[in-house]
Amino acid sequence: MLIERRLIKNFDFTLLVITVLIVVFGLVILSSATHATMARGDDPYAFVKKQGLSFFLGLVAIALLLKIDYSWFTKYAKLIYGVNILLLLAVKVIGQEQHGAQSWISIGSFNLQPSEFAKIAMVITFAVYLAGREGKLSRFRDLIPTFVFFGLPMGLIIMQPDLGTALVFIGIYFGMLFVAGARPTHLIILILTGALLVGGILTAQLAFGLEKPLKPYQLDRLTIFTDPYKDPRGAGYHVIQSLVSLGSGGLWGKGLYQGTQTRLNFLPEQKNDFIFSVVGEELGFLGVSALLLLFYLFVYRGIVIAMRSKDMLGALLATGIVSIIVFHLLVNVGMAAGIMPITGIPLPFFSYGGSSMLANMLGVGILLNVYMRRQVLTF
Amino acid sequence: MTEKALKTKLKVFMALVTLIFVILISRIGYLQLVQAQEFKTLSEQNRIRLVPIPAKRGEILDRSGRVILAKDRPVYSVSISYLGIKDQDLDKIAARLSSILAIDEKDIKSAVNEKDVRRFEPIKIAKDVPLDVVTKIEENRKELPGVEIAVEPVREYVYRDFMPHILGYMREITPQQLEEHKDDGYSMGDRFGQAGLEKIYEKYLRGEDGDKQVEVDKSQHPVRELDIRQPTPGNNLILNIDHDIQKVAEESLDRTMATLQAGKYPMAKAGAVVLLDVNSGKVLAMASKPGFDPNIFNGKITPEQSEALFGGKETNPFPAFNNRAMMGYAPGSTFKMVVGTAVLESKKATIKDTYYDSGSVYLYGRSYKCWRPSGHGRVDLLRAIQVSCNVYFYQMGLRAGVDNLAKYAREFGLGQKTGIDLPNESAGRVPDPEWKKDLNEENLKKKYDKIYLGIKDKYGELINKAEDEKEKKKLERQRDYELKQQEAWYDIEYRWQVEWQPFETIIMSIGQGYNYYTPLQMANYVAIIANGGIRYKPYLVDRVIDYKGNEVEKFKPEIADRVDISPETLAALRKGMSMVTDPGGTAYGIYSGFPVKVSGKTGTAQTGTDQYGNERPTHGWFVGFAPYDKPEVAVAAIIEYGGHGGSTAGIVARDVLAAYFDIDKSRVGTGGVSDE
Repeated sequence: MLIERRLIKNFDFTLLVITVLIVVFGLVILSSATHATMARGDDPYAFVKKQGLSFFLGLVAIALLLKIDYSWFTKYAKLIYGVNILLLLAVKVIGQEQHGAQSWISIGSFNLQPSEFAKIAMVITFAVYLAGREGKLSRFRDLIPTFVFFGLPMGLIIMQPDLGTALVFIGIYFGMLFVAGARPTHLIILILTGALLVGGILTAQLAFGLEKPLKPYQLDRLTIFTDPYKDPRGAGYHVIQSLVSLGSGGLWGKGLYQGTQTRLNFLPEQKNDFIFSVVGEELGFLGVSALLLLFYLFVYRGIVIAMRSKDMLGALLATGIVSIIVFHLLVNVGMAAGIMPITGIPLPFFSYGGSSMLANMLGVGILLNVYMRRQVLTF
Repeated sequence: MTEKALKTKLKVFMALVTLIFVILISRIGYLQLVQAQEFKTLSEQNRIRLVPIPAKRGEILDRSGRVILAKDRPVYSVSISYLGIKDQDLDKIAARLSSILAIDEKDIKSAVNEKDVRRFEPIKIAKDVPLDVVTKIEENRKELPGVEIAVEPVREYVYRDFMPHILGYMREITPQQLEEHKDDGYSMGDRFGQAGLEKIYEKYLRGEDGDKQVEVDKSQHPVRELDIRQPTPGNNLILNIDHDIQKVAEESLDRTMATLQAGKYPMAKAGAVVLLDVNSGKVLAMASKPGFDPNIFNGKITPEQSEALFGGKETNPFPAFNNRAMMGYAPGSTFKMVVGTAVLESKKATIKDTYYDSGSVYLYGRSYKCWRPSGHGRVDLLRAIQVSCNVYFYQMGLRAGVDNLAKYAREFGLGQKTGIDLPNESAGRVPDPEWKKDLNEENLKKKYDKIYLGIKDKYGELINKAEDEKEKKKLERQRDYELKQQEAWYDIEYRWQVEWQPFETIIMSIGQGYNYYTPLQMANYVAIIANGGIRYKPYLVDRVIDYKGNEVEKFKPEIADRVDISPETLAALRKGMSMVTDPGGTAYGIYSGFPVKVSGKTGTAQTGTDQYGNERPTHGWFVGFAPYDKPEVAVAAIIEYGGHGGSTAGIVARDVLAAYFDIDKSRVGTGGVSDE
């Protein structure tokens, strides 16, 4: 046996089952989102198969990860942080551009998306950092190093530009700081300051018609969700079609594979950013509720793991992973529902993409790892 | 941090996470439960397009139901469909098509680009493509991806320039018509009847378009057909018009005009003839010349064609588009039966009363001539009709008075629309004192008010500047004098321009002056004389049948009025008119040998002077009915600027009557010219 019997006894099968359910749900939806628009002669399930393979690789990664005690992260945190920064830099230098963002590195026939792994890396390294400063976060100036800690990778991600991932970074940051013991008042001040700053810049840019810091099309994409009918064929098209897809699903949905918005390709980016709208159109409010319930159970399990973890590091790791999932949901689902700006980030376990799947599976692995080793060893 | 504090933090964290989930599910619930219907509609609008299938328009047939006058002809049209495939190279296709169809390559490309947003519809490139071109396209199928050949209906008027004024023509619906008929399911690009029967019977002929519900994808490319609704063909019209008589009418007009033009009447370029069933008002023939070919409206109208159709007074005084059977003309002597009626019905004279015609008569300080310089001697009413004696009718007109003339003209339906089932019928005009007053009084008053005001202004200024009282008085006297002078002029002008003058009654009595009646009205007026006093509403369409042959509607004779004229008077008129074709009558020559007894009246209407002051040729009229003892049909014919009635319109009327009675023309005299 590779892993001790005692650890297997502490294995969280519930979380694994929830994960598998989410992934299977995702694969079914992905098949609907891809089979109709596939070019004739191609394998209609090519995307599903690739995604399945990524899931399988994810399972292998989890198995390997479980062998390692998460306390080892403390030892390798600096290395992980360094590699993370290097990868993000590499993207900037040798990355491939897609949808206006430079976020891919090609390695042979594989495309790697470092920003997906960067989230996991930040959770690990920040957890290690905060665990080391336990009880020393009550003053505002204690937070200053964390700005640098997060600011560096976040700056690189904004430069890609990948505003969605940057938003998730903010979620991770505040979620983990809060649990690590920073004063809520400090965090609220930070959030308000940031919101005012961003709001101020955007307002100024809109008011004066400036072309910096955001390019006009980026600004359009960020603000169009407030009134998509301002430009229904241009910037507003994505939001409108997503709303039409979701709304027309009604309570029961149009049926799996029956979504006209999906099947006839009115819904853009349906296998990636807007896959949530496919669920809404084909399975209706019931399907959407099932999806959110599964994620809610997942998140609940994650927080239970944080509560039961044997140390601060475990609790912070679990909090970080939960933050990733929650903010992905908020940003992605909010975008599909027209209450968040259009920033292309995937719906975890649903959107097509190997890097995303693998990174999320690693997250699950970390949660399982923390739960497995929740008992303090007493020899 | 204690474990308890950590747990509290995590619980708060969980609460925040729950809040996020609640926000998301609420928003989605609002979209999917509250706004679902709205978004369902939007998603249907995204994917469903209706492609219309035009209905076959009903046919128009003559009274036999066998001769098709107007029909839809299927023609080949060539369109390009957007396939969304890579090997559809538009440049190549356009080049290839332009060589096969002989159309400019640019036109093809611009047609395609115009339709960019509605790609689910095939883009029409060419219409009415001949079969050999279609074959060529079929042979080149492989090089022409997306090029489609479809069959669509085009209106065809089978006999081309045959009775175009009655049939009308088709054209794309105008924005205004679209607005007026917005509840009838028309859309841009639909055909719409623009004139004649096509216009009046649009709702019967039109049929009901079908459509295909097509599902399209985001690029507007059709994915599949969802539903199809077959079109219902329009209903057919069966006319009262008899093709054979109509054909004779048109040919006779053409031939007579050609003869006149070759002779002394180069301006005899227009005319009309109407044949009515006196016992029903059915229009058996109605022709107007010059004609035109309504098929030209299927394409672009060239400037030359437009000139011929609508041309102005300067360039083309005979626009072909006008239906002259429904346009007003001075009736000339054909009006004399109205005068006869007026004087008999008002008891101002009897049939026996006579006048002596010495060739002219002196009335109200002026001499009025008869058309025959030597006069007709002593004439009574019947003789006066027979020889068309002006002198008799001048005096009878004065005896009856203008009010009676106008009253009985109206009794015969003159000066008002007959109500025929055609658009743009002229009402004509019955002149009377009231009409004249309405027409001129106000203008005259305005004119003089302006003159009076001018005088007052002029003197007002001078009086103000006057140096002493004496000069002022002098100016006032001058002013009053000038005003009086103008008032006197006003009275004179008022008398001539506003008040009805006896001379106007006199010229009205021979059908001149302000009389304006249409050939259709004149035929109907003769029909009333012939049938003993019933004014029918003339009508062209006998019945409507659907495409399966079932009768949809049958039009029955409609009595517009039973005229208030005694049978004795009408009998006298008939008798007088029958004498017109007897020896000594004005139309004896052209009806000699005619086996059916025709009663008629010739007319020669003066048309005034042209721009150089030269007397223009007269319009020639003929009205009549036959047979005399048991009238069946009434006819009215006119040739513009053709000279005398008998030798012009009389011949056309005779040919039409011969066609109606199926008379072999070789047995009928061909000439016989009378001066009236």
